[in-house]
Amino acid sequence: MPKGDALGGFEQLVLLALAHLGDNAYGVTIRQEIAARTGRDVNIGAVYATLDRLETKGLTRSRTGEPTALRGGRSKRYFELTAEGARALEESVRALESMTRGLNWGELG
Amino acid sequence: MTKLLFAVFLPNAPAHLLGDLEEEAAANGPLWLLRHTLTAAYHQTQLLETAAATAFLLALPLTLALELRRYALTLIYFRESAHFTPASLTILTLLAATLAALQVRALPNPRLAIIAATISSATIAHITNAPQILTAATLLGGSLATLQRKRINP
Repeated sequence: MPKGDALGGFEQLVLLALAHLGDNAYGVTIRQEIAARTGRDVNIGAVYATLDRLETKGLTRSRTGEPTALRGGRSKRYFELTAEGARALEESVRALESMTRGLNWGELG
Repeated sequence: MTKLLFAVFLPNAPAHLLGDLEEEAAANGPLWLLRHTLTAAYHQTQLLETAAATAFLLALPLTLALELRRYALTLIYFRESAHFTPASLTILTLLAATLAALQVRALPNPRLAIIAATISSATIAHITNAPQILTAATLLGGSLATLQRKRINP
């Protein structure tokens, strides 16, 4: 990933959700995965805005899935990490781990 | 209800987003759907449409109430009593702008959309007796703003 194009906090969460979900990563499951793990009420519009940005950066790719009656006959759009996306995520998480190592959370604030 | 919400607030949103909203709304209910549709519209940067659609939904019942009041006044006193308040003019302006924006957004041919928006705005002006210049300015502003947005974010 080019210098100065670091992952934002929410981008990191979305990429981590993709990593957890594997083949079943589409809007609903991504939103629910983030909500369940972080306790944040995430909006689907925010998820898609981020996914579109990540796809433009080449960090994810998507394919159209099958339409279902529950969705009013509309198709799902499945997302997955690209090799570059996986690499960027690993770098970002390692940097975060490195920055948090040795911190005593009880003493902060 | 769902179709109306999507048509008003997310007229150009991709099908997979609408499908996701509909899928989750089945478990979470109509209030969840309304909240997430509004925020999705914001994130889809359909700001003009969101503002216009909100104004439209608020303006319609208010306009009807004001019109009924105005009509009642014409029956009771004399026709000159039926003048517009600043509030009713604002509401009519928003209504005309909303219709113009939605029509330009919805119809594929810009020329056809402008014609439709002109007819609807003229109809509003005729029915409500609103100042023509105000309606024309609103129509022009709404159409140009939406065409510009459509160009930036097709």
